[in-house]
Amino acid sequence: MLARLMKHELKATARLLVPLYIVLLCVSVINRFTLQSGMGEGIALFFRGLLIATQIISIIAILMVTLILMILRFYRNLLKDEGYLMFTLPVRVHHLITSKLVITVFWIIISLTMILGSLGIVSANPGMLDAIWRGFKEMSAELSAQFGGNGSLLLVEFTTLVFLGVILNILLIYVSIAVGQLFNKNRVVASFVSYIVIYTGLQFLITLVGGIFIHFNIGNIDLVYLSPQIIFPVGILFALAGCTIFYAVTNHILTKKLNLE
Amino acid sequence: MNPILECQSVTKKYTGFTALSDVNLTLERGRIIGLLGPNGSGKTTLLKLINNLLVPDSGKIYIAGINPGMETKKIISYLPEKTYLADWMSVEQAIKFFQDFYEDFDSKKANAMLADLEIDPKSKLKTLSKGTKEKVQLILVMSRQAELYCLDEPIGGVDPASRDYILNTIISNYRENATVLISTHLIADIEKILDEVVFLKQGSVFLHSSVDDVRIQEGKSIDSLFREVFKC
Repeated sequence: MLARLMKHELKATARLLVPLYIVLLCVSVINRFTLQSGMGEGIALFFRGLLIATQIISIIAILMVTLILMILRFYRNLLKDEGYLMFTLPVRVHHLITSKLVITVFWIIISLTMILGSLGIVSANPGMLDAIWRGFKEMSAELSAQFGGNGSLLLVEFTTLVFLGVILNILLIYVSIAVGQLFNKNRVVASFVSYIVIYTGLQFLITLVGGIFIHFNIGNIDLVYLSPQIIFPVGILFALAGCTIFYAVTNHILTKKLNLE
Repeated sequence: MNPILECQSVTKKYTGFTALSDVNLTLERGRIIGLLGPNGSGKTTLLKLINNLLVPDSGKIYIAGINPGMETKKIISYLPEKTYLADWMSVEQAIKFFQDFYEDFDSKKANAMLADLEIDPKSKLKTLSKGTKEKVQLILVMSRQAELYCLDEPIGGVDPASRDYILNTIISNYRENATVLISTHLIADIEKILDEVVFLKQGSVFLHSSVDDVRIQEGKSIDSLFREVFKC
């Protein structure tokens, strides 16, 4: 049933994002060819300026729509009138949450790929891929030298941490909306306030843990070099714990304390 | 066979007031039952509890012997008072959605009913009137082969001419062993199809009786009894 939920979630969101991707890619391709022949003068300059503006606006629109969909799909599809259908489907509540989460992460990845692709289309030249690859190799060699041969480990950990960070932020929004719906009035305001409270709490916790950690290791220069062994794994565990707690609380509220209007 | 619904001293409170208080109710299979009561008497709360959209503060609910959850959602077909279909969908897409999630959904039946009511399956839900949307929802709900149908105000928003079709749809589309629980204010319209009535008064069951018994013992129709009991 999770697969079916994801399929429908994909359908409901693709209809808004895919047209934007197509616009962005088309404008990028046109811009590539027009920019190659210089900016021009007069009316040509005006049209080229317009095309560049369209590309920038499309990029901003994709970022905004990805973000807004993440929030609206959870709020409207689960906690407004559509919730009466979603919560009476023969599926588990955590499948509802997971389907939304997976599809959101999917669109974030696709949106970022599209934006990078768009910039690539406009600016790519034959030597560019080589240069990027070389740069990447140099960076990982540099990292390995700095961190005693653990350069690739550090990259993997960094990627994992970014990925978990994205999930943590999505779940933070979900748990805030779930807490907000417990109120009978001003649910949107309540969700917003919950978000600020939880976000601030999280920041405080990170600062506290970080502060204590630094306090006990003052003057210990080795520590920075041990990032791949200590700092990043701790960060990953912290993010994992956060994700688990937010997910579990959201699931608990939507299972036991659902409060549809 | 066990009863389709059993409520054992079910209580549900919201902040400030008690929506249902110590409700004991057993509904047998194969009946059409009217869940009647004035606004705020707890009808919708009871239906939400049966459908696991709410959890009781105390007491137990059993549907075909099991607690509300994923298994009971497979056998209950629920029509809320809300328009719960996403308005960007077409009627056809809504049918596919039901087909995907409910094993007991019969799309042939749904399409036949749409044709009877002259609703174009290709039309987007947002272009339909409120009443037509309600008809579409009722068609979807009645196209399932469920064991318990919970209909919250199924005819409230549709014109009197369509009401008869809808009531006929309800009577002719449920299996012999299925129970239909209908909450409504429009008692006179619906009275003729009911086997039993449950009167809810301020969150408690005031009366649970067969329609024939009411007529024989009280010598009046359900509509007049309702007006008498709930006189303001």
